[in-house]
Amino acid sequence: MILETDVPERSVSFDIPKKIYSMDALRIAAQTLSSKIDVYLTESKTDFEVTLKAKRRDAGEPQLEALAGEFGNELLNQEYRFIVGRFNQKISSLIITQTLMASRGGETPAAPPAEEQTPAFKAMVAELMKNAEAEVARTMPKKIPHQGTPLPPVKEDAGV
Amino acid sequence: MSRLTALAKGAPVETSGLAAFNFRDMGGWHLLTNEWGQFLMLSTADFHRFMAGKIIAGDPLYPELESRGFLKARLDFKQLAANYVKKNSFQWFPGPSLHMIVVTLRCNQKCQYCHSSVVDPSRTDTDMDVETAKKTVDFIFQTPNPTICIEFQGGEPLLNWPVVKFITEYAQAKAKASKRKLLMALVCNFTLMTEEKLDFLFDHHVSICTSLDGPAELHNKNRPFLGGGEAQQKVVHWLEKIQERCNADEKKKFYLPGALMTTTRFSFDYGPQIVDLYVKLGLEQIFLRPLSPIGYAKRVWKDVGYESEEFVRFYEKTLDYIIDLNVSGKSNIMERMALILLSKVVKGEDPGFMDLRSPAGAVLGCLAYNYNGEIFVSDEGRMVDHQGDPIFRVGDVAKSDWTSVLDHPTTRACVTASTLDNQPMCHQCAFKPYCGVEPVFHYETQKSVFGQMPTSGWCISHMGVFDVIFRKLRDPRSRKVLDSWLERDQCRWQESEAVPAGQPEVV
Repeated sequence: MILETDVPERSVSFDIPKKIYSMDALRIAAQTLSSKIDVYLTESKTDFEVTLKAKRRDAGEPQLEALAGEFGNELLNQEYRFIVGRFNQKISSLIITQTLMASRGGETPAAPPAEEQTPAFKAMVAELMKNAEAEVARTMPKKIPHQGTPLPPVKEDAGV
Repeated sequence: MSRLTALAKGAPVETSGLAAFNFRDMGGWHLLTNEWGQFLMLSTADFHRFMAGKIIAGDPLYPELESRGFLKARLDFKQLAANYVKKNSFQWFPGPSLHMIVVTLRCNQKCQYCHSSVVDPSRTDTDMDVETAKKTVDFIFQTPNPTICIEFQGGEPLLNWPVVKFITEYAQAKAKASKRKLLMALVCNFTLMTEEKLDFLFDHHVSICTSLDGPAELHNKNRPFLGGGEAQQKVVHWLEKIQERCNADEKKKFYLPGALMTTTRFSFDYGPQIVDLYVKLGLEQIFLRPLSPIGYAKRVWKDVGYESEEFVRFYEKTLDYIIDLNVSGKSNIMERMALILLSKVVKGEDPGFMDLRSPAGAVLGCLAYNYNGEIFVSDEGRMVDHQGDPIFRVGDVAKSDWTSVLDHPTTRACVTASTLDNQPMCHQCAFKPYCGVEPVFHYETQKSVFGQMPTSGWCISHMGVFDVIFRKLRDPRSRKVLDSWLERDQCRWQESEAVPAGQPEVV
């Protein structure tokens, strides 16, 4: 992959052969890395001409090259995922269908047991709830109104 | 890019007689595995003979290759299919068995990594109320699995004690009415434990587990009290006290408390000391767990996190120490991650570990319920929501039923993404029959539920640990210890056959 970097523009450009990579794989790779880069595409007969523009304002040459490498890895991952998916489609569909069907636990959900409909059971549940509410009121600090999400979204470059 | 191993260039290959398999160069020997969960450890010379199709009837290796499903013309489908079903029994499970309820986000500790994204004790708005608790239990009993395990989590669940009590009693009444097996577990930091609470937990057969990261200086660094102070001494005090009560009563012996440690960067210097403490406290197992960069831990990763390779080195070194203790007879403590992998590899059984399944346990094996009744694919999914991203939310106990949760697009995405046959690299990996991927981990670290295995920290650390375990299986001295662990181990909560339906059982 031959890279052309433009540091003032925070961009790096390269060609991707259409013979090997699909537009779908390019789109998914672009989406996966959308927090770090904007992706611009043009096409020739044989290649996709890709330009990545870094979102970080301080991206220099090494960072741009690293982003191109990261994009290349993700593109390869996505394209290969299509190949693996097609190759193993039958077995993976079988496993997923089997697992989801088993998890459903039958065509119709089981009705609640008859015992739960009895007055004695309902009275017992009401008593449990009453006692719990009373204990909350007696022993717990007063509940405050909802304060919203406690933490703001994490920054991208948290070092992970 | 790939960490998979390839055949030597020019090596003779004649595969027409060989059944499907994956392999790995382990350095001087090769590991073969197949979809049936069978494995073989071959010398490199034998591996090359195998690949060249030169192991034929009459060869000493032939019967083993035959019985383990590596020869195409000699497959015993009935037996191999039975092996597959046993190893992947979770693919036939009717819905989740593990239900994690976050009864509050409040906590009195401020752990360096806090997996659970807690809030200050003043934030009583994050306490589950009794009505939501009832709806949560009602939802849990809508799911079809005949065995239900409810695990209280937080925050610190003891800060919302009345709701813990209510859920316990209500769930037990419902289990009795519906004749279902119910297992209850409490994960707490012990610092708010009292004799009265302990009596209730014993009386209601709730098993107890705590966090113990190691010696005081390490534990108190990782898990300090809010506003400072030392928590480790309290943990040790209550561990000893509960053990004393369990050991004094034959009926309570099954309820011996467990402890979990989380490995931070600071833990690396303390491997033997951590193990020694667990041994001193009479704990049967230690679980050398890596830290995941999810939730709050992601924010502080630069301070407490590490490279996956560093964890694997720590794991191997500490496991060596544990094995040495076993060999010398000084202790028979077991390592939990090794046991999980050994159950899969050697016994060909699923030990009920949600993270290493294909598809993963998200929704299919477990669900997490937030204090406000929101339902998540897993506890890790809930932590992502706590950071303001609701992507892993699949329902609400007030509005959803089990079918809507199972049919939720996020559930489908997680199931598809965690089926290893769909994963580049995984589908060729020798560890595939025993491994799994975690969609939330990859979403958090690689912005995709599918992830990118060649660069995934999850994959690096799990492949590393598998390498360690298979090397130990090849070594007769370690193998003897590992076999003794398998004999002693009881994965009780998943398959507690001896317990009558409706009766509570220990986890």
